[in-house]
Amino acid sequence: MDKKRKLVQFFSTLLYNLNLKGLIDGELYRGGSKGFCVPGLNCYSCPAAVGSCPLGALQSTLGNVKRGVSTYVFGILIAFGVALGRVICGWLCPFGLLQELLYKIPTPKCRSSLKRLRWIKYFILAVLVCLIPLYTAFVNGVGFPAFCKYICPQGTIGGILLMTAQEELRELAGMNFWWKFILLLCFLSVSIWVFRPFCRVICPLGVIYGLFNGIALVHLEVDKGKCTGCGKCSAACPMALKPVTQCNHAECIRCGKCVQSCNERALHFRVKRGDNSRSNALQMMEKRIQSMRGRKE
Amino acid sequence: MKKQYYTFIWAVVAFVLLLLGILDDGVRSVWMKGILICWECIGLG
Repeated sequence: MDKKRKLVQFFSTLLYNLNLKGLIDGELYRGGSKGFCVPGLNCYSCPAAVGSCPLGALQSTLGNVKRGVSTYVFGILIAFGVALGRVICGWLCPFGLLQELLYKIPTPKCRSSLKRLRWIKYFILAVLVCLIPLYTAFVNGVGFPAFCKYICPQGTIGGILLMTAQEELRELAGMNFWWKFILLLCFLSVSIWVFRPFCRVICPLGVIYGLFNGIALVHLEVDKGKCTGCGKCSAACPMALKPVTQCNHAECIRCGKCVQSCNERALHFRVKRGDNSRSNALQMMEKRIQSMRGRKE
Repeated sequence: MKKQYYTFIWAVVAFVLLLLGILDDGVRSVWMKGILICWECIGLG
């Protein structure tokens, strides 16, 4: 499953950035697909991008609130959330892929749950993504995208690619660029020791999709009748969760490592929402009958 | 059952918002149309 996931991650990164010509001439893509938000974090100012970043689009929508609110961005974020939840983080995010590739570098790994730092991303979503663009929109007329300006590492990569293609842009690199560049280097270097630090601590897009993890169509299910409580799934989980009790937790990125690690096949992905309590009860009864037979023999 | 209900409600909300957003294309930003570079995004603004 991990190989399949990597393939999907590579393919989606390529699909979001099909304008490879832009990497050479430094020109932004202006086609119709740019009006469509891609599900993962992928800066629309990257010269290769053929779609828009949902987080950048959300900030620009909130920043233009005085001219009228486009419901499109809210609709597409909810649609992605309801359909896939954080499957998008695990399977369709280019920056997630980059962090995972760095995590493959063989070094001692930190397996901390980062429980206390998780709340930073909720603060970032509320303040930098929503409140500051809204506030500046009401005060100055046009809001500015605070998350993109001060934090987003994906935008910095876009900037580096643009500056590589257009020499004259290099002169514009000031304090803000160097701040974002150092931040990008920090995220990338921490990724070597910690699994996806940006996704776990900073990413506000993950917060939005995480809110839908519990009701998303694609979700994880535990067959409690089959679970032996061996704990292999918890040991395999890179997000330091306990999949048996937290299978639809907001932090679960649906990487499927728990599904792969389960010898009893108690964990599995499901696409349709449904009540499986009846099948669970039947399996538990079967198990009990088998154990009673075993005792008699 | 409860979860199915929530999924359905949110799917309807998403559909309505998307439909309204697609019909009202005019307020979509210049960055989303690729007309301008978002200088803030790339750290040069």
